[in-house]
Amino acid sequence: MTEKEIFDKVVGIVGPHAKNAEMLANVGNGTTILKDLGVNSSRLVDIIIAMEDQFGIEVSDQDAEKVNTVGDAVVLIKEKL
Amino acid sequence: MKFSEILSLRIQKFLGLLVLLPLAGIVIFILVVVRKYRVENITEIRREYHRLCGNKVPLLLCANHLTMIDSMIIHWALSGTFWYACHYNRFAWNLPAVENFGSSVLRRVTTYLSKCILIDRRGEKQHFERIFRHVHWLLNKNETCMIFPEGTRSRSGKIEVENAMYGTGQIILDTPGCQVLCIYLRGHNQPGFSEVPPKGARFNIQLSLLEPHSNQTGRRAQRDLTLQVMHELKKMEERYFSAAKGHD
Repeated sequence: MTEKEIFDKVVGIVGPHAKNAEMLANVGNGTTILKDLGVNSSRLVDIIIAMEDQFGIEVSDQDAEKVNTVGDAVVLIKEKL
Repeated sequence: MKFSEILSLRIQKFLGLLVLLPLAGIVIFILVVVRKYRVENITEIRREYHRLCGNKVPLLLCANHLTMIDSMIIHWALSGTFWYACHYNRFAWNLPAVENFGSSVLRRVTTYLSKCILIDRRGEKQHFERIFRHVHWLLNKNETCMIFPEGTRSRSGKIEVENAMYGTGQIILDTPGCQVLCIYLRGHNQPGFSEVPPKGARFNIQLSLLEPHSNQTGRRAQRDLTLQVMHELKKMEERYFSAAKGHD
């Protein structure tokens, strides 16, 4: 799976939980999930679980804590695949 | 937990007990005389709560959230002041949002004296860890704690399962054997969320005891346990509305 494909899939997972539509429209690797997209911490849990299910990976609590931006999620998934 | 944290909770509880009678008197006067609120099934609710308090297990109250004074109404409905004075551990610790109740000195003092631990919803991870540590310690000391699993007042006026805050599941997960008393509170003339219920409101309260259990671990267990509580609250809401429809 290419980085672009992973990125698109991650944006698809994060999108429904984002409260800031403007930031979502201009989302990039540096976009922070909590602050920029306005996702709350419980929805971030949903996002991590959805990433595990859709990519067939396991994300430890330590790894999950490192996911601040969309790019962090992409890098983490790429490492795990 | 650090000795200083235990000491601070013990001092808070002691000071709260000292002012319970006058503070509760003022609150009940406002609720009953000024606002003319009534809880229609208050005797059964109190009897049931007193009975459940006889179980010597950690008890977490989880309620739906429509107004800023839900916790006051729930405290008033669950027991009388003198019973609380004799069983002060059963006057529930509450976790209100700092942006709502920390805005003035008066509010900070009254919440402090009412066994509240202010929570900053935009706080750092360490802040939440500290809150969970306190709640875990309190529950294991046979203190009742109260939380609103929706995290905020429901903007639609109905339970929104998909907006649940998973801190509830974290608390249950951290406290083996924890019983959850789901509380559904609604004024008959309360269409949606508001600051306070309308004057003269008549409340209906339902209680349902759960012992949530999950075969999952970590964040999946957190979510699973929270959703069990939320689905129970949703069922209680459906019962409320089908009963209300039957009365029309």
